[in-house]
Amino acid sequence: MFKSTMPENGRIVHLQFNGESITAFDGDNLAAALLRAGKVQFRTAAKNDPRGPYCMMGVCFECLVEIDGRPNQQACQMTVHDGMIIQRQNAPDSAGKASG
Amino acid sequence: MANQHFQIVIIGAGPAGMAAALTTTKAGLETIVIDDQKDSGGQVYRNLQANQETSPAYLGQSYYDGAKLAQSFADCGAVYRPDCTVWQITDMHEVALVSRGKAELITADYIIIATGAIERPMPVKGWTLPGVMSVGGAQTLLKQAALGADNAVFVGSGPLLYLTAWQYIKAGLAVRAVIDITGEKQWRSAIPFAPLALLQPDMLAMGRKWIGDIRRNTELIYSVSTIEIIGQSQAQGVSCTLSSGDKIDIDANHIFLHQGVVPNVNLTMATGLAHQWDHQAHCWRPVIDVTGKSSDEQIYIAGDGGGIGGAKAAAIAGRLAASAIVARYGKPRFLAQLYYKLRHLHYLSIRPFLDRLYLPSADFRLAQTDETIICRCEAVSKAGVNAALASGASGPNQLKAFCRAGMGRCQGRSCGLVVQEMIASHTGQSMAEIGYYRLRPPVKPITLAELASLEGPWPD
Ligand code: FES
Repeated sequence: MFKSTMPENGRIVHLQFNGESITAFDGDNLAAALLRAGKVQFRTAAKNDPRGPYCMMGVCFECLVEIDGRPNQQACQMTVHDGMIIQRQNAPDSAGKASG
Repeated sequence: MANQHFQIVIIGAGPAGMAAALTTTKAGLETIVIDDQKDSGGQVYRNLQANQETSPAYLGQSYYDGAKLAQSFADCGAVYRPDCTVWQITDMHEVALVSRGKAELITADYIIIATGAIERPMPVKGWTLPGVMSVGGAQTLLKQAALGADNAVFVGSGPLLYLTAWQYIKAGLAVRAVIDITGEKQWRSAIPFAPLALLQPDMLAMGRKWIGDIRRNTELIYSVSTIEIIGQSQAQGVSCTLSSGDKIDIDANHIFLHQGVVPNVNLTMATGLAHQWDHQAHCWRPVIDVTGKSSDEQIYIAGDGGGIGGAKAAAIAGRLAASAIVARYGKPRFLAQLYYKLRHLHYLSIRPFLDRLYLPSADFRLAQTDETIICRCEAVSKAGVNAALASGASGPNQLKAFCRAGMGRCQGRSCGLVVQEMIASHTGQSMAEIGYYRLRPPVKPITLAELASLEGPWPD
């Protein structure tokens, strides 16, 4: 499990991940906040094919989640905000289409 | 709204892009720097300005070396647009980007592409399981969020792997093991180039320090012939076979993979620029002259995106490209250019050694078992790619149509090199003959709503 390597500080914000409430720090990277909370699976690519963030730089698209109702969001490229509602993104999604 | 026009558009705010902006702004050229991250620095100096406040020592001096460049960049007067995704460069040298859900077009006299590197894919069985990350991803978490995991296992080879494992140790994290896949064959091919690498004594000394500290603080496992990640819903361990035949199983929930970096060619390829297969570094790179000028007179490529050289070489490459452009506005800077060229060559002197030493063997470049996923996005296994080859797919694009490998959102960034090399070993052709996926804009997925927000004529 990921843990902080420096003293934690900052304003606490509250998120929801799959209905479970999680705390994070204001300004946190979303993927980092979820990992700190012990969440490693962010989506499924198919049945029994769980995935989580891999590259943390926007390249691999393994960190896709649904945020406040919008699907296909790259968690590693997002910043948290108070009250953010995140859902694991389950297959089938629209992967492969350049738009939509 | 009319299109915005800048004399110089720089894409990427890593060392190459930042350094290029210093030179163009000093020459009085209107410059905009567009970057997809929230802060300047690129991947190598990610989150540097924020980290300077607390300065965790575990990130190491090579990281803080970027501070001066980042500060000069912040003060240089270039227009800086973070958090923007460039999805196309048109034939008219318009740069199409999306920023906060809105699309824009920016026109330029000259474009400098400084989009850096990505990690070479490392397809081992189980690498799609949650808990497995690239070493670059693990390092980003450390730099950006001060996050690390105890009892992680690092697997692979290359400077970034040793640096990150070293940073983990210095951060007080328990590293379970480092499994080094560098083989004896690589050492033999690299050694003749060691004298040239001695021109970079600081870099060699740094590497020795990282590896020495790793050896003292964790188990360093060499001479491995197979690697597999174990787990059902998340990673539970690594299992490897040594060349002696012995098997080692290690429990771990966090496994970090890395086998080098390659130029990030998606934008340069989708722009239609000429590329060539680099035999030494075993990757595609854009065709550029010594100043970074591409096959398009108006487009320059600087930094790792033009060929891997590391952060310091990238900054010099940015200076070199920018001063070549300044010269084209009638302000030649012969001495500066000569100086940058020599510095650049000097920084690159370690590459022939490093490229050979850390070129992973075919065993690790190509997956070892049939069930190993090659294309992560579409979940296509090695067996799936082989089936497409057996039924006659003869090139990367045809193979895409046969089995969907490369069709997903990452646009081949995680599988392209692997698929291409599998075709090469099946058909006996060279990598240059086979070519890469045909890449087309948009190079990052954009939504219809974002496209519709574009005012003025659409790019073709
Ligand atoms: S973790 Fe790779 S795109 Fe987010």
